[in-house]
Amino acid sequence: MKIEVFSSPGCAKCGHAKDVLKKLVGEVGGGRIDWREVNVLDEMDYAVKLGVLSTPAIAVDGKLLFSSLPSEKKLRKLLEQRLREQAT
Amino acid sequence: MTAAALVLAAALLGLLAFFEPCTIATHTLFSARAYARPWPVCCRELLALWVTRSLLVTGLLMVAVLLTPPPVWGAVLPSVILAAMASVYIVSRFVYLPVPHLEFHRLVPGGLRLPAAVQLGLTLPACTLPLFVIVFGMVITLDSYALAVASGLLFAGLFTLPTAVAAVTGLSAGGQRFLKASALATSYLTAGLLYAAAAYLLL
Repeated sequence: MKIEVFSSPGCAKCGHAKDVLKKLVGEVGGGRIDWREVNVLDEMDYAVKLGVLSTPAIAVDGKLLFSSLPSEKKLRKLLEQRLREQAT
Repeated sequence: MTAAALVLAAALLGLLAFFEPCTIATHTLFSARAYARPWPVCCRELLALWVTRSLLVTGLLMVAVLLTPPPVWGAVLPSVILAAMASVYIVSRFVYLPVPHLEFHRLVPGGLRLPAAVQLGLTLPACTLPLFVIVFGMVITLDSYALAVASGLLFAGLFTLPTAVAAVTGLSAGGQRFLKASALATSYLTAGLLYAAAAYLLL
Protein backbone atom coordinates (compact mmCIF):
# COMPACT_ATOMS: atom_id res chain seq x y z
CA MET A 1 0.00 0.00 0.00
CA LYS A 2 1.29 3.45 -0.92
CA ILE A 3 0.34 6.43 1.24
CA GLU A 4 1.04 10.04 0.42
CA VAL A 5 0.73 12.86 2.95
CA PHE A 6 0.28 16.22 1.26
CA SER A 7 1.90 18.94 3.30
CA SER A 8 3.22 22.46 2.97
CA PRO A 9 6.18 24.28 4.50
CA GLY A 10 5.55 25.60 7.99
CA CYS A 11 2.30 23.63 8.37
CA ALA A 12 2.29 22.42 11.99
CA LYS A 13 -0.83 20.33 11.43
CA CYS A 14 1.01 18.50 8.62
CA GLY A 15 3.80 17.64 11.04
CA HIS A 16 1.20 16.21 13.40
CA ALA A 17 -0.35 14.21 10.53
CA LYS A 18 3.05 12.74 9.67
CA ASP A 19 3.68 11.79 13.29
CA VAL A 20 0.31 10.02 13.52
CA LEU A 21 0.85 8.24 10.22
CA LYS A 22 4.40 7.19 11.12
CA LYS A 23 3.10 5.71 14.37
CA LEU A 24 0.23 3.84 12.67
CA VAL A 25 2.44 2.52 9.88
CA GLY A 26 4.75 1.12 12.57
CA GLU A 27 1.86 -0.42 14.50
CA VAL A 28 -0.33 -1.89 11.77
CA GLY A 29 1.79 -1.80 8.61
CA GLY A 30 4.11 -4.74 9.22
CA GLY A 31 6.33 -3.57 6.35
CA ARG A 32 3.43 -3.55 3.89
CA ILE A 33 2.96 0.22 3.79
CA ASP A 34 5.18 2.69 1.94
CA TRP A 35 4.59 6.33 2.66
CA ARG A 36 6.02 9.60 1.50
CA GLU A 37 5.50 13.27 2.11
CA VAL A 38 4.41 15.41 -0.84
CA ASN A 39 5.15 19.12 -0.56
CA VAL A 40 2.28 20.69 -2.50
CA LEU A 41 4.40 23.70 -3.43
CA ASP A 42 6.94 21.33 -5.06
CA GLU A 43 4.43 18.99 -6.70
CA MET A 44 1.53 21.31 -7.27
CA ASP A 45 0.34 19.75 -10.53
CA TYR A 46 0.18 16.32 -8.91
CA ALA A 47 -1.70 17.70 -5.89
CA VAL A 48 -4.19 19.50 -8.13
CA LYS A 49 -4.63 16.33 -10.25
CA LEU A 50 -5.57 14.34 -7.15
CA GLY A 51 -7.99 17.06 -6.03
CA VAL A 52 -6.09 18.20 -2.95
CA LEU A 53 -7.74 21.35 -1.60
CA SER A 54 -5.85 21.88 1.63
CA THR A 55 -3.07 20.47 3.75
CA PRO A 56 -2.65 18.03 5.33
CA ALA A 57 -4.42 15.64 2.99
CA ILE A 58 -3.87 11.91 2.62
CA ALA A 59 -3.98 9.79 -0.52
CA VAL A 60 -3.86 6.01 -0.55
CA ASP A 61 -2.72 4.21 -3.70
CA GLY A 62 -3.07 7.37 -5.76
CA LYS A 63 -6.56 8.27 -4.56
CA LEU A 64 -7.34 11.18 -2.26
CA LEU A 65 -9.14 9.68 0.73
CA PHE A 66 -8.80 12.41 3.35
CA SER A 67 -8.98 16.05 2.32
CA SER A 68 -8.22 17.12 5.89
CA LEU A 69 -6.55 15.59 8.92
CA PRO A 70 -8.55 12.50 9.99
CA SER A 71 -8.67 11.27 13.56
CA GLU A 72 -6.12 8.61 14.47
CA LYS A 73 -8.96 6.14 14.99
CA LYS A 74 -10.39 6.77 11.53
CA LEU A 75 -7.01 6.48 9.85
CA ARG A 76 -6.17 3.29 11.74
CA LYS A 77 -9.50 1.76 10.69
CA LEU A 78 -8.86 2.61 7.04
CA LEU A 79 -5.34 1.21 7.06
CA GLU A 80 -6.44 -2.02 8.72
CA GLN A 81 -9.34 -2.40 6.29
CA ARG A 82 -7.11 -1.79 3.27
CA LEU A 83 -4.50 -4.27 4.48
CA ARG A 84 -7.21 -6.89 5.03
CA GLU A 85 -8.52 -6.31 1.50
CA GLN A 86 -5.06 -6.65 0.04
CA ALA A 87 -4.43 -9.86 1.96
CA THR A 88 -7.56 -11.56 0.59
CA MET B 1 -6.56 54.97 17.78
CA THR B 2 -7.36 56.59 14.44
CA ALA B 3 -9.27 55.60 11.32
CA ALA B 4 -6.01 55.75 9.36
CA ALA B 5 -4.40 53.24 11.72
CA LEU B 6 -7.34 50.88 11.27
CA VAL B 7 -7.26 51.15 7.48
CA LEU B 8 -3.50 50.56 7.41
CA ALA B 9 -3.76 47.61 9.82
CA ALA B 10 -6.64 46.01 7.89
CA ALA B 11 -4.72 46.20 4.60
CA LEU B 12 -1.41 44.97 6.06
CA LEU B 13 -2.94 42.16 8.12
CA GLY B 14 -5.16 41.08 5.21
CA LEU B 15 -2.10 40.72 2.97
CA LEU B 16 -0.18 38.96 5.72
CA ALA B 17 -3.09 36.50 6.15
CA PHE B 18 -2.44 35.04 2.68
CA PHE B 19 1.18 34.25 3.53
CA GLU B 20 0.51 32.48 6.83
CA PRO B 21 1.54 28.80 6.70
CA CYS B 22 -1.96 27.40 7.23
CA THR B 23 -3.32 29.56 4.40
CA ILE B 24 -0.70 29.68 1.70
CA ALA B 25 -0.99 26.07 0.47
CA THR B 26 -4.79 26.09 0.32
CA HIS B 27 -4.88 29.33 -1.63
CA THR B 28 -2.01 28.37 -3.92
CA LEU B 29 -3.78 25.11 -4.77
CA PHE B 30 -6.96 27.09 -5.43
CA SER B 31 -4.99 29.41 -7.75
CA ALA B 32 -3.40 26.50 -9.60
CA ARG B 33 -6.81 24.91 -10.19
CA ALA B 34 -8.33 28.19 -11.30
CA TYR B 35 -5.39 28.91 -13.65
CA ALA B 36 -5.88 25.54 -15.35
CA ARG B 37 -9.54 26.27 -16.07
CA PRO B 38 -11.07 28.29 -18.91
CA TRP B 39 -10.90 32.04 -18.38
CA PRO B 40 -14.63 32.60 -17.56
CA VAL B 41 -14.60 29.77 -14.98
CA CYS B 42 -11.41 31.11 -13.42
CA CYS B 43 -12.94 34.61 -13.14
CA ARG B 44 -16.17 33.25 -11.68
CA GLU B 45 -14.29 31.29 -9.00
CA LEU B 46 -12.11 34.25 -8.06
CA LEU B 47 -15.13 36.50 -7.91
CA ALA B 48 -16.99 33.99 -5.72
CA LEU B 49 -14.01 33.78 -3.35
CA TRP B 50 -13.58 37.54 -3.11
CA VAL B 51 -17.30 38.38 -2.73
CA THR B 52 -17.93 35.62 -0.18
CA ARG B 53 -14.91 36.55 1.92
CA SER B 54 -15.78 40.26 1.75
CA LEU B 55 -19.35 39.57 2.86
CA LEU B 56 -18.18 37.34 5.72
CA VAL B 57 -15.50 39.67 7.07
CA THR B 58 -17.55 42.84 6.60
CA GLY B 59 -20.63 41.19 8.08
CA LEU B 60 -18.76 39.98 11.16
CA LEU B 61 -17.27 43.43 11.73
CA MET B 62 -20.64 45.15 11.32
CA VAL B 63 -22.30 42.76 13.76
CA ALA B 64 -19.44 43.44 16.18
CA VAL B 65 -20.07 47.18 15.99
CA LEU B 66 -23.79 46.60 16.45
CA LEU B 67 -23.51 44.30 19.46
CA THR B 68 -20.35 45.41 21.26
CA PRO B 69 -20.03 48.65 23.18
CA PRO B 70 -16.71 50.43 22.55
CA PRO B 71 -14.27 48.88 25.03
CA VAL B 72 -11.92 50.80 27.28
CA TRP B 73 -8.60 49.04 26.85
CA GLY B 74 -6.40 50.87 29.33
CA ALA B 75 -2.71 51.58 28.79
CA VAL B 76 -1.26 48.09 28.98
CA LEU B 77 -3.90 45.55 27.91
CA PRO B 78 -3.52 46.01 24.11
CA SER B 79 0.23 45.44 24.39
CA VAL B 80 -0.29 42.34 26.53
CA ILE B 81 -2.79 40.92 24.01
CA LEU B 82 -0.51 41.64 21.03
CA ALA B 83 2.51 40.13 22.78
CA ALA B 84 0.50 37.02 23.69
CA MET B 85 -0.62 36.64 20.07
CA ALA B 86 2.97 37.07 18.87
CA SER B 87 4.11 34.37 21.28
CA VAL B 88 1.47 31.98 19.93
CA TYR B 89 2.88 32.46 16.41
CA ILE B 90 6.36 31.55 17.67
CA VAL B 91 5.21 28.58 19.76
CA SER B 92 3.12 27.22 16.88
CA ARG B 93 6.34 26.78 14.85
CA PHE B 94 7.52 24.17 17.31
CA VAL B 95 4.39 22.70 18.86
CA TYR B 96 1.17 21.61 17.15
CA LEU B 97 -1.67 23.71 18.55
CA PRO B 98 -5.02 22.12 17.65
CA VAL B 99 -6.82 25.36 16.82
CA PRO B 100 -9.55 24.68 14.23
CA HIS B 101 -10.27 26.82 11.19
CA LEU B 102 -13.54 28.76 11.55
CA GLU B 103 -15.60 27.23 8.75
CA PHE B 104 -18.76 29.30 8.58
CA HIS B 105 -20.15 27.27 5.67
CA ARG B 106 -20.70 24.44 8.15
CA LEU B 107 -23.35 26.63 9.79
CA VAL B 108 -25.30 26.83 6.53
CA PRO B 109 -27.63 23.92 5.63
CA GLY B 110 -25.94 22.09 2.75
CA GLY B 111 -22.83 24.20 3.27
CA LEU B 112 -20.49 21.30 2.52
CA ARG B 113 -22.01 21.08 -0.97
CA LEU B 114 -21.26 24.72 -1.76
CA PRO B 115 -18.59 25.39 -4.42
CA ALA B 116 -15.02 25.20 -3.15
CA ALA B 117 -14.53 28.94 -3.79
CA VAL B 118 -17.48 29.80 -1.55
CA GLN B 119 -16.37 27.37 1.16
CA LEU B 120 -12.89 28.90 1.08
CA GLY B 121 -14.37 32.39 1.25
CA LEU B 122 -16.44 31.40 4.26
CA THR B 123 -13.43 30.05 6.15
CA LEU B 124 -11.16 31.98 8.50
CA PRO B 125 -8.05 29.78 8.77
CA ALA B 126 -6.70 29.23 12.29
CA CYS B 127 -3.46 31.13 11.78
CA THR B 128 -5.29 34.20 10.46
CA LEU B 129 -7.62 34.43 13.47
CA PRO B 130 -5.31 36.65 15.57
CA LEU B 131 -4.94 39.00 12.58
CA PHE B 132 -8.72 39.24 12.20
CA VAL B 133 -9.13 39.68 15.96
CA ILE B 134 -6.82 42.71 15.85
CA VAL B 135 -8.95 44.34 13.13
CA PHE B 136 -12.04 43.32 15.10
CA GLY B 137 -10.71 45.00 18.25
CA MET B 138 -9.84 48.18 16.39
CA VAL B 139 -13.25 48.33 14.70
CA ILE B 140 -15.23 47.98 17.93
CA THR B 141 -13.02 50.61 19.52
CA LEU B 142 -13.75 53.12 16.77
CA ASP B 143 -17.42 52.04 16.76
CA SER B 144 -18.19 53.02 13.17
CA TYR B 145 -20.16 51.06 10.56
CA ALA B 146 -18.40 52.88 7.74
CA LEU B 147 -15.01 51.89 9.10
CA ALA B 148 -16.22 48.33 9.68
CA VAL B 149 -17.15 48.09 6.00
CA ALA B 150 -13.96 49.80 4.78
CA SER B 151 -11.65 47.68 6.92
CA GLY B 152 -13.58 44.48 6.12
CA LEU B 153 -13.29 45.11 2.39
CA LEU B 154 -9.61 45.92 2.70
CA PHE B 155 -8.81 42.86 4.82
CA ALA B 156 -10.76 40.53 2.52
CA GLY B 157 -9.48 42.17 -0.65
CA LEU B 158 -5.80 42.08 0.29
CA PHE B 159 -6.18 38.53 1.64
CA THR B 160 -7.57 37.46 -1.75
CA LEU B 161 -5.33 39.55 -4.02
CA PRO B 162 -2.26 37.23 -4.17
CA THR B 163 -4.59 34.30 -4.96
CA ALA B 164 -6.12 36.28 -7.83
CA VAL B 165 -2.71 37.28 -9.21
CA ALA B 166 -1.47 33.66 -9.13
CA ALA B 167 -4.71 32.41 -10.72
CA VAL B 168 -4.46 34.89 -13.59
CA THR B 169 -0.71 34.82 -14.28
CA GLY B 170 0.12 31.28 -13.17
CA LEU B 171 2.87 30.44 -10.74
CA SER B 172 6.47 30.40 -11.99
CA ALA B 173 9.24 28.36 -10.39
CA GLY B 174 10.48 31.58 -8.81
CA GLY B 175 7.01 32.25 -7.44
CA GLN B 176 6.87 28.78 -5.92
CA ARG B 177 10.28 29.32 -4.27
CA PHE B 178 9.06 32.65 -2.90
CA LEU B 179 5.90 31.07 -1.46
CA LYS B 180 7.90 28.25 0.17
CA ALA B 181 10.21 30.76 1.81
CA SER B 182 7.20 32.89 2.84
CA ALA B 183 5.42 29.94 4.44
CA LEU B 184 8.47 29.29 6.63
CA ALA B 185 9.19 32.94 7.49
CA THR B 186 5.78 34.58 7.84
CA SER B 187 5.04 33.36 11.36
CA TYR B 188 8.26 34.99 12.57
CA LEU B 189 7.53 38.16 10.60
CA THR B 190 4.01 38.31 12.06
CA ALA B 191 5.34 37.76 15.57
CA GLY B 192 7.95 40.48 15.05
CA LEU B 193 5.34 42.93 13.84
CA LEU B 194 3.04 42.16 16.78
CA TYR B 195 5.86 42.52 19.32
CA ALA B 196 6.84 45.83 17.68
CA ALA B 197 3.23 47.08 17.80
CA ALA B 198 2.97 45.99 21.45
CA ALA B 199 6.14 47.92 22.32
CA TYR B 200 5.00 50.96 20.33
CA LEU B 201 1.67 51.09 22.19
CA LEU B 202 3.49 51.10 25.50
CA LEU B 203 5.54 54.18 24.55
